[in-house]
Amino acid sequence: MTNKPARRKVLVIDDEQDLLEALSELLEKAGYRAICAANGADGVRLNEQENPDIIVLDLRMPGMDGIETLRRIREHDREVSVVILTANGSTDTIRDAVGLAVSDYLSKPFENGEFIDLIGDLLWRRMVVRK
Amino acid sequence: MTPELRRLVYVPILHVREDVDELYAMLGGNEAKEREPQVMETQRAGVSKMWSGIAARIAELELSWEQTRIYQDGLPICGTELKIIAQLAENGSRNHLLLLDLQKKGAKLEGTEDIELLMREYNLLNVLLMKAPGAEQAAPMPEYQVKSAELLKARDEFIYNRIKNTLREGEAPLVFMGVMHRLDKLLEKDYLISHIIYRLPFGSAGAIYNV
Repeated sequence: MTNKPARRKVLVIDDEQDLLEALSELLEKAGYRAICAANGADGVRLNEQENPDIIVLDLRMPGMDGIETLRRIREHDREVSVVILTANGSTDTIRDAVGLAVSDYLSKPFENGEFIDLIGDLLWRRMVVRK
Repeated sequence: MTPELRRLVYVPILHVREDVDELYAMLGGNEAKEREPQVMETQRAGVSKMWSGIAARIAELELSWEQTRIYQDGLPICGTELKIIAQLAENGSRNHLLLLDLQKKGAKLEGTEDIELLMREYNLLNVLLMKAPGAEQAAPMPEYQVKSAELLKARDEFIYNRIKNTLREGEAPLVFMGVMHRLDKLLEKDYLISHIIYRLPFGSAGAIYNV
């Protein structure tokens, strides 16, 4: 009997329920374990509980926005790779994101294939860096 | 009545170190160093996807190319702008391949930066990169960041004036600028800015410097 390798965990933080479900389904189909958070506070908590490999983070959320969420995540976790998703990005948020060591930045709408490729690329880079 | 603002398309970009090194060498700086093929390949692949997205979005804008003037981060006013772009494109730079393509469609390429400011920026960065990565590079980093921020501000002011002084009646500016520049903040009082932001693969592009 062979043990299956543990599935890589991706935490998706987005207040748009439809997109959260769509990304979760897409990630699961691609073989990842998707963990969903509908707001920044839940995202910060789930990151500490689940220790994901990658976080996919929406910038525009009511209450705690994406940059503030990321700031709180980075207070405890400098390692996790973070992908920013946004519909209306600005150069200010890009510079904030650079300062918070974001790995990738993708504007909505995007192709499903591009999103999954990006997740795969990030995991590959994490493996190479850790070797 | 407030006059209607002209439209300006602003594209925040990431540079590949290899392109920066080649441009520096072409302007009389040190010869580009050999880099690990795997690192170069990873950088090129990530940044290549960014450029595919940018090219597709620019095509969607349906600009009149004969009425478009292009300004490019790192392109000095030197009289040989097109030659520089052609050389970098020939070496595989997706950034400069796109510029060349737009130029062939009729867009005008404008020398954008003051060569002296640009060389000061490269020299400053080069001093930092000559140190071994890690602790040796971390020590002079705060001083580099302060000096580089001052230089970036001066470069942005120069580029802002360059755009204002070279853009002709009826032309639309298309500006490709590194993500750390704050040029758009200067431009927004005179132009109605449309940003083209698709993908920015920070992780695969390597460290983000102000060049």
